[in-house]
Amino acid sequence: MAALTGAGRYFDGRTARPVPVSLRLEAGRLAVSGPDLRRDWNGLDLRAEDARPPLMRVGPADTPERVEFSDKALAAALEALCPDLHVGPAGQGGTLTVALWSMAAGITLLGLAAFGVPALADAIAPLVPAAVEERIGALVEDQIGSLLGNPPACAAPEGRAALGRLVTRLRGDLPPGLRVSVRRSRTDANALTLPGGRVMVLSKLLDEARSPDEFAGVLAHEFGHVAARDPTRSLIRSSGIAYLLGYLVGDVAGSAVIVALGENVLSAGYSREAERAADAYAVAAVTRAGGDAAALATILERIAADRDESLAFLRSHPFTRERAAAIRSRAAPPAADRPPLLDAPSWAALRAICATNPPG
Amino acid sequence: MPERGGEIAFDRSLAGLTGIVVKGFLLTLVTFGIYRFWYATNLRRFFWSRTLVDGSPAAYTGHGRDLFLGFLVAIVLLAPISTGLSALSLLLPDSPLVASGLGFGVLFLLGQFALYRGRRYRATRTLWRGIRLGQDGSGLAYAALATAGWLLVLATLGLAFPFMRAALERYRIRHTLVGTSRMESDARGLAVLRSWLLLWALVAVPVVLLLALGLAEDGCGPMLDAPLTLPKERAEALPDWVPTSCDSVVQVLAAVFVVLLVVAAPMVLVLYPYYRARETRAFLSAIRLDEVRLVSHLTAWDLYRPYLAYIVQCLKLGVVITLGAAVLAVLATLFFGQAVSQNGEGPIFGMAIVVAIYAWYLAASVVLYVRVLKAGLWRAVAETTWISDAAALGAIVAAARGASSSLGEGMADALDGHGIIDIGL
Repeated sequence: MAALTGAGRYFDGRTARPVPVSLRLEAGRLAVSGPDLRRDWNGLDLRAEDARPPLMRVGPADTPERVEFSDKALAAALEALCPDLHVGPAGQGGTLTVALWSMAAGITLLGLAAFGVPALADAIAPLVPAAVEERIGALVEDQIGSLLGNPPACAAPEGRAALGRLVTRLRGDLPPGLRVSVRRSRTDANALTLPGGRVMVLSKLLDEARSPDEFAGVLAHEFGHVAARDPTRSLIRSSGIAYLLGYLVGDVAGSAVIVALGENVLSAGYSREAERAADAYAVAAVTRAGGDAAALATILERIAADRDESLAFLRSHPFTRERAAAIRSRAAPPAADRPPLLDAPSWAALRAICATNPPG
Repeated sequence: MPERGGEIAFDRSLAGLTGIVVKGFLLTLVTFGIYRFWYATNLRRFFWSRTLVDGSPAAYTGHGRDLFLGFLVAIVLLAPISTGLSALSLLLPDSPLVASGLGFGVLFLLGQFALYRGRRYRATRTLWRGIRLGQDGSGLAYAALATAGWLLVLATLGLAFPFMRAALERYRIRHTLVGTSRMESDARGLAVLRSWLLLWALVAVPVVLLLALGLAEDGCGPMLDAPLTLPKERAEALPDWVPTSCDSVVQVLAAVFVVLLVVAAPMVLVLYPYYRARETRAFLSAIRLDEVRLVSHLTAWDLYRPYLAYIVQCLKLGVVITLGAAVLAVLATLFFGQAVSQNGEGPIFGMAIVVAIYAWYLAASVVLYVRVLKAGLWRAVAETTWISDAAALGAIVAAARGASSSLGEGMADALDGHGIIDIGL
């Protein structure tokens, strides 16, 4: 192969002073010569830095010395001659390695969000002081209230007295902070448990319930959430998951949707578990109080049937059936001659708890 | 090789950039976002190495794994801080303003700290002719300076903005080193005050009018209400010029205010690049390195051009993709028409539209964003900047300084809304 020559600039890597040099590529070696300067580099040692062709910046891997030139023929010859020209420093993996490792890291962080954060939430929730939980509960109640359109609280005195009697029969050894309120709602038959032992009953539930046992079952189910401190746990869990997922995904297009979706998916499994545990608690509490625990299954199925079909099909329906079956298998049939959980006048008063409120 | 001393040049062909962007984006998706640190590294390597200062390319020597580690440390460090901030809002339920103000202040301080330390990471990973750049100074001092500056801006209703910018620029530049040489900046806010006032007036005048409007309404209010509250016979006794003149004053002021707001809001948006161009030119021209000065000839048009090009390219792409989707949908109905006709043609067209919109969004927000907008702005600033005395650059000597940690980059990734993909020193 004939010798290739060209002109370039030499930099010693210690100063920014350019030294004009002539370059000569022959027999696998790059000779650099200029005023007071002679270098003879082995082509196998040469590394090129990132630059836009035809500009090439090249020098031995183990020294900071470099030459820059813009000679196409010389650049092509160097590319052909030096196998390691574009090899990065040791320890710099290829794209595939990096992609696989970052996928593994991503899965690890997802796993941390899916398993580590819930475990952490379970560990932290019992440590939250009652006063803090109380404050969180007040905040959440405000938010839920405005989400529901600020439904008025129902407080007919006879109804409240009946509710108080039912709560006393069901509460077992729940902490004294327990508070049950009824809010007027014509659309949603539901009950919610908030942090700090706040249970919120929406009045449509009372309209839907056909017996005190059915309502008692739902109430005891919510008490199950209170006993397990589920609202506080789920609050810690969902903010932890959102924190981790938010930073994991970063600023990619549409990341907010991904985070919200991921949080829902990861939380869903835990909420099912919590529902089952609360059902079991309800069966025990209602049975202890002398009621018919299977009534919870009945009202559950009736309310689920009323709900939006597409949603029911996707999520609640099979789960509701499974829950109802589990409740019935646990519930012992009540004694035939038992007194009702609430006598007829009390039950009527409880159902009329919203009656004195102005229509809302 | 033609010696083009004294010039800062940027590769106009951008060959290879689209590949980096597409690969980086797709891998970021499949790695749940983690690959973004390597993607950002590849982007920086490209932009640095395509920028020639006096004929020699800059080199970025950072690694994706540094950024990833910085990110891991940052999420661990930020977890107690963000927990503490949420706890604070629970502890002070009666004064949400104090809690949220304190939270904002802490996050702002941390964000500025992270920006400064992130810049140190990038500076110490930047080499030119084998000479490493550096940055000293303190991230905390910078964050304090930024906080004081912003407080001053708030106190002066925005008038101090260019002075705050200049103070931060001076701090950054005066703590930047090239080898053993320290950069010097005499950036002054006064130099760009006029450009800023133009922008400021657009906002200030409607606000002043709004206040005047409020005062006028206050003055006229009781009289306007008077006929309603007073007994009828006394209402008629009121001189009738008072309500009408007040009415018309309020109406005129309201109309002027609405017009100004409608005109001013887009004007501010349109004029901000003009201010940024003036500021960049003034601040760059204020930089000195030993005997060497930078001279910037950046015009506002240089910054508008990439934005316009980006808008035009996005629209063009939208047209092309719409046409393509339409052709595909027609072809699909032609070929599978028989089978589809039972279900109607709705779903196919619907799907085609969704796919087309998503493809357009993806290409526009990912590829065109980097290729047209980011690269365009970078090139505009680079190519309008000159070095006064290129020969004097030869006197720069390398320093025995190492590279710094990447914690700042990780924190900036977590705190900064723009994300780590933003390129620049």
